[in-house]
Amino acid sequence: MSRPILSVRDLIVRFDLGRGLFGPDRVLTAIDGVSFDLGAGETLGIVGESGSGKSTLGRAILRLIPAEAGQIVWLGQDLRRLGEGAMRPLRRDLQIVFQDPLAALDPRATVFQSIAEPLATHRPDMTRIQMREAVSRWLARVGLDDTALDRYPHEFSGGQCQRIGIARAMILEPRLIVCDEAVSALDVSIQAQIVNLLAALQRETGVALLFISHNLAVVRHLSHRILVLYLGRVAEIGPAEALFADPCHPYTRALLAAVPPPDPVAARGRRRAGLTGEPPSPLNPPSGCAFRTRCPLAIEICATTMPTAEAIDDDALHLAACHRWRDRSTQGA
Amino acid sequence: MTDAAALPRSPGGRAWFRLRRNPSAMAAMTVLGLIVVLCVAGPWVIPHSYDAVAWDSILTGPDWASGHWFGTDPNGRDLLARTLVGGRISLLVGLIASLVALVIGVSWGAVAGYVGGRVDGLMMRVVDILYALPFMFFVILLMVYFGRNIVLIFVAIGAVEWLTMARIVRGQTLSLKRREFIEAARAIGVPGLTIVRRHIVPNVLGPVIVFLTLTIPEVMLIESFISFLGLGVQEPMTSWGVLISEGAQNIEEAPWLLLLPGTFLALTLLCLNLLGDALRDALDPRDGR
Amino acid sequence: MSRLIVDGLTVTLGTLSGPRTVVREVGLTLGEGETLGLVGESGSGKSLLWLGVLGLVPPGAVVTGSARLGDTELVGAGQGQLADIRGRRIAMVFQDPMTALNPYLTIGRQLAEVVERHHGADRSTARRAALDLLDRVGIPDAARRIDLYPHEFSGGMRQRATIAMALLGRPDILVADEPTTALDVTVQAQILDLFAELKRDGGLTQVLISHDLGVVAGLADRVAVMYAGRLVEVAGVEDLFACPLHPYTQGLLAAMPRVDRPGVDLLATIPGQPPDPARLPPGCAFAPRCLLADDGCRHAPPVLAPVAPGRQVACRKVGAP
Repeated sequence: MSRPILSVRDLIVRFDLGRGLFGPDRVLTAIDGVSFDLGAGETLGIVGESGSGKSTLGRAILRLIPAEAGQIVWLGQDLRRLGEGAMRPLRRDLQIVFQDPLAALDPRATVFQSIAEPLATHRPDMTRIQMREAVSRWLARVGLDDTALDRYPHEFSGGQCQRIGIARAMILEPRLIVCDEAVSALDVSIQAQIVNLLAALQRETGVALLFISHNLAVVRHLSHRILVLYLGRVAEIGPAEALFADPCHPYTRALLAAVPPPDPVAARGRRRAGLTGEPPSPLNPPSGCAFRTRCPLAIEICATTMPTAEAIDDDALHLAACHRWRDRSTQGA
Repeated sequence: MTDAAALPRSPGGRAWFRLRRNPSAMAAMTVLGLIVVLCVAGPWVIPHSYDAVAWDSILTGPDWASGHWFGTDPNGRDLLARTLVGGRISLLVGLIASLVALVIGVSWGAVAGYVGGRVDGLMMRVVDILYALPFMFFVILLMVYFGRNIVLIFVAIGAVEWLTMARIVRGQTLSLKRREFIEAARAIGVPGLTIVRRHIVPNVLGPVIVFLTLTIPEVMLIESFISFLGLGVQEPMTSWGVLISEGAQNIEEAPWLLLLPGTFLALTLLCLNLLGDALRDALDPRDGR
Repeated sequence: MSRLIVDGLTVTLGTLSGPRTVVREVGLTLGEGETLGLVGESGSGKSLLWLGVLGLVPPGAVVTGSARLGDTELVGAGQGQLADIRGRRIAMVFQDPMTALNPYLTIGRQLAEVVERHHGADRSTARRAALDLLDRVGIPDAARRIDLYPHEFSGGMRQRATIAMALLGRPDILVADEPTTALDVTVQAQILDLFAELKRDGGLTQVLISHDLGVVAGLADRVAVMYAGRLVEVAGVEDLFACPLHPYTQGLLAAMPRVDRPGVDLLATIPGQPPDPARLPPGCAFAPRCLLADDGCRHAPPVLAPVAPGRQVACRKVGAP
């Protein structure tokens, strides 16, 4: 990987849930010491189940949620040290696409107003006619035509709204887009269209994607590298194919085993649920390794010591935070 | 949508479209419009002035021949003229005080809700404290300090009504703030005040307009009450509230004094309430369209 | 033996902007002990089909056609009779377990109440029955959890509890509408295992409604695919996945990214948008998105016709034998 455009180091995000009726402040640690790099034009898939903190991570990087500690280094600048005023000009390079395409558009704004909002904010020099031209160009690029300009979001289907959301995110040609479950709410046939659109836009503009999703199949399809989050910590990170070929964290293996394949023969032949139970509450995480309560390989050390990321390969591209990653072949998952 | 051709596109246009299909709303609007036209234009048309004393016909009943179609008051002034002129005052108070409440309440509530945290806490405590002040005490204080003045009534009533408006808007803003399109605007880098102006205010306007139609009658009642206490408009100027209070004092010998202004006020309040209900339905259709 | 025969079932909703037909002339048979997967995208009418069969359509909706359960005709049956059938013979499980559970009653109380009502059991027998079922649907430490409230359950356990509740009346048919869509994959896998177990234990006929072909693949014996309110293809599960015949089924399968295979450059897509149920084309509803469509397809809707034993397809481009 060339020099990263984004380096996240030891990021910690906590939510203060306030005092209970009795007892001390309840603090939820959503992101607990996450580190990773992202190169220009690269797609990093972030997978995890609900409560893993994957959406929080994306929003914390864009400073939509304040981080408590750590660094978010964007092109050599630590975003955490910038005030909102200093942050504003950088925002034209950092965009986001949301899960619910309709909710992401102001119901009282026309499509033109929504897509032009980044221009109105960052390019005050542009005239209205120039803006209309730019918006119309991007509408065409995402597969809609000019008849959409003066219509309202409720007139479009979910897939079309997501195209509008992508046009809004792309219009300033940013260098990073956080896709927060961007295709999860869409039907399969539409999901494929949007996945292809994102891949094509990346090829053409070299935008980097942080692709957050619970859908491993889509993540595998789009990502160059994948980061697996469990309870706010990195369980495993590595090049997509290495991670799928040789998943080193037992949680990664369980996730992969849990996805039902669209193939009856393969589906019947396998033991499905490798995992019992559900993720523990991030309000009260287990000691040591957060995954140990559900892990088939857990031993004593897992309860006492939090595992650190260890390199699996020689280049240290593939890392896993597991005391027993060397024993992965003993688990029949 | 089935009849996409007939259905307007913009959300506001759709609400208007649904409102037009509601017969009671249309009837209410027609009657309301009629009352406004009567009050505004009527006093120029009818033969009597509201403050002209007719010494020959004091406290007479409705009489076609004399031109006092709805009778006269104990001072021999034409009741119709007084009711229409009083209507100007009552409607004006209702409108202006509500607009004052709208402007202050929406800005206060939207800013408090959007900024959140300590600012929100402070701003809403101010609202709480003002709520706790006895309203009449506040009005009497104003009257004593600045003298009796019609403008002061607008200000005094508006200054009290905005509190509820601010609470409603803040609540709406809190739920809007979590919506993704607000987050999208933040991610784009749109400044906070612009987000409030461009995204929050237009989206809270629906519930606010409904509340407004219910505030106007309330304000008119408060004005009646203040005038009833003798702190409101001054003779010979009048308002529906003043007329009704006079009518109530003379109900035994001259019931028409209560009947005419009472009918006007009741009709106006009824129409505004009907309109408010219809607006609520039009803006929040359960059909989802 | 067929448990349920649906024939010509049509559901028309009454909306403010006029009637809207969302399920059109659906015919299906459900065999005893069979698991049917019903696949379709949002708005395809796959849920409303079953709400129509069970008389659970919203007010103003009209259901026509026929759905026979044994000797009983369900379409047009009285609400009392339908309520009885819903409890004892056809049970339904929904996507969001919280809508099926009363937040103010403990799980045990809710389950026991159903037993008391349906089987006239006394309190302690009912509680024992509830406990047995919670055990059976795999709620760990059921004896303790039976006295918890729904909000104290995790999402997966809540769904297990609603499945237990559906099984209480010992129904012949269990209709599960997107039962795992709101759950995480690891929990989804556990719930799917539970359905597989219920199937192995025998007797229970299941209908699994899902937008996810993967969910259906491992459980269903037969799969029915819906598009714009109509069945477009019905086939045995192996046949359907190995050799889909309808262009929509083909497109759907090709459009799914696979977790078990390396990514390809471009996913196959179905062009265009799903149709607006209020403005369906006169011919085949899929024709505007179909690469094979010709003028004939655009004029008259195709009929669901048998093409091989146990296989039906509604497409003019798929030759009948």
